[in-house]
Amino acid sequence: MSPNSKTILPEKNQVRKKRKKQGMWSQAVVRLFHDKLGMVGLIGILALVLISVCAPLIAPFSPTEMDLKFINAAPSLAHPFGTDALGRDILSRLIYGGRYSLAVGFLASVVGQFAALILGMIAGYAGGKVDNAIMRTMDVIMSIPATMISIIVAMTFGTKNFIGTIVALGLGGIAGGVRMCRGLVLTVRQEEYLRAAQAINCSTPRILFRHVFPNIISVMIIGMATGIGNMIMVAAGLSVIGLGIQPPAPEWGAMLSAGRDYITHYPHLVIFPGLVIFICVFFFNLLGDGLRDAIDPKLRK
Amino acid sequence: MLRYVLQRLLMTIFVIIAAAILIFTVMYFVPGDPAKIILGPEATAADLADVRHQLGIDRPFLVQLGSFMYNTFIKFDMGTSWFRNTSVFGGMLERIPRTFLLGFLSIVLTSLVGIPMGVNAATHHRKWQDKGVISFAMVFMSVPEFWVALLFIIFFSLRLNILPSFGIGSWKNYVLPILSGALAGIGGIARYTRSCVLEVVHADYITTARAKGVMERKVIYQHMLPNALIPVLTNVGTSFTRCIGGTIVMEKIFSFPGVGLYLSDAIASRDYPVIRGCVIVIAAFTAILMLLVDLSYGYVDPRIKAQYVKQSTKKGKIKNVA
Repeated sequence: MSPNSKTILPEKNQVRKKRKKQGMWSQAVVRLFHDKLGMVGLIGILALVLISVCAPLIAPFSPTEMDLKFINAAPSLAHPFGTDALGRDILSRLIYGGRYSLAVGFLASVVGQFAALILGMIAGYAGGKVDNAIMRTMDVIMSIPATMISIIVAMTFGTKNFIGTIVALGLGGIAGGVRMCRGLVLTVRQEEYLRAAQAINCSTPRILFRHVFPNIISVMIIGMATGIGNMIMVAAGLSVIGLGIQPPAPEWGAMLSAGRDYITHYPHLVIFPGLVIFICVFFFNLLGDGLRDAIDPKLRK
Repeated sequence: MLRYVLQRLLMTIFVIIAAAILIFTVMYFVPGDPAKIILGPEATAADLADVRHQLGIDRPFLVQLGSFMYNTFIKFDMGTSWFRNTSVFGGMLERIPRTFLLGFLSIVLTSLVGIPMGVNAATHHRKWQDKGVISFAMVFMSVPEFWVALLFIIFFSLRLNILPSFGIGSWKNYVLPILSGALAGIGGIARYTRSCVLEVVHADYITTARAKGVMERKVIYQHMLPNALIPVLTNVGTSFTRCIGGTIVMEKIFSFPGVGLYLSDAIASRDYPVIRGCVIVIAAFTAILMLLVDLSYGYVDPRIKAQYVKQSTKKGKIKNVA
């Protein structure tokens, strides 16, 4: 708003100011706070994050401390979730493991969506040959199941590699994200404000980041939030087949896959890590749904 | 319509070939010397060079890629497994039907349960049926497949001892993998079906049908579903491909000798020809499946056919004018 309009139209300006207080994001936050399930998800995730950040204060034992007198002990008062094959307290390992799993899920989702955003914006805005080249590549990637792409990339980076796992997971779901982002850019391209920006000779980066980006970011955020839960699940799956973060680290999937060998006699080694993954993914899905309804009420059905 | 089919067919062939090039290139850059993997850490330099020559990996990249493509697509020879000393193609032929059957049965189960659930939720919008289906879907979408599989093993195989937990032999071996594979998919399909049906529930032609006095059952089955279920069809197709990808973990857990277990064993032992073969076969399979879905989509939805006819006549007109 230019300073001129303030002096000429004071009344209208006041009305506008009131409206401005309810920007798109603050409205979305208000809607999210009214969404019970979304709030359950948000609070649950915050609690999980808090628990893993304060792990040393909360965990009753060290995640690496072995107590050979209590190997594969069933859940008891001292060890609420029992101990594993090396006598380590499962509850403490799960608390520390949140650090790996949450970080991997969050970073992988962010990396994937960010890469998809850049590629999708380029494809959608440039059009023509660039668009064709990017989208045909995505078609090829899409013809390989996402889990498989993650597996191949994880192999390329070698196992036991934190960053490699994140990139592998992020790349797995990239094709869908690029496709969605490109579609959004194509609709935004038809809008008049974009023609106006082009008409006043805005530079391409400016158009992309000041005009296109704010209009597609909300959908990408929704994709990111729902992606985190999925990434945590796929990361655990990678650990099960021996890729991704490996057993000495207390990652949830790695704990679960290490427990598989003892499933016949000590099912608690498998039950508790899986339960924690399930609860965590559930919270992220609730939050993702809540966010979608909050950011884009039109989608609500 | 023929042009549409041909175009999609060409695209599919391109995708399969590109996927093969992609996987070969990626595997080429995977760190580690294949000769060392085969011979172990104590091999002499002469032996290593010998094996490298045998495998043909001392040649330049493009030559290797060329001969790989020639062997795979012209001679249908995907090489020999380094550790099993059997042909990869033969190994595939033996395993593909099992994995396919597993994926097919679990997607059938998913659709048979998920689609009616979604339709039921949508036709009872905001009633208890709807809420029940939504909560059910939410929970089952969040359950990790492999965890459910392990819980099933603990319960049905170890406690009740009624179903086998590994191997293959009788129909019983299929029950647990199919159940655990389907469970996660049911939630997704039910949710998707629900939102698709809800989109047409308030369409004008539904109101018209009701106003004409068409029976409610007929409104749902003849007016609502044919329109609503078209996008669901695509979704079933894509879930099938996801299912095939998901079998890698599932087959590992149930020791089910399909393509997935072949692949994960090959990854563990770094058996490159097998890994390549598995990826190409799965990619080709996925691409062909997507082709079929797209074609059936064009067949079922007259709007797509019409769109295509219009486009070609438009182009013709422009040419005539020019």
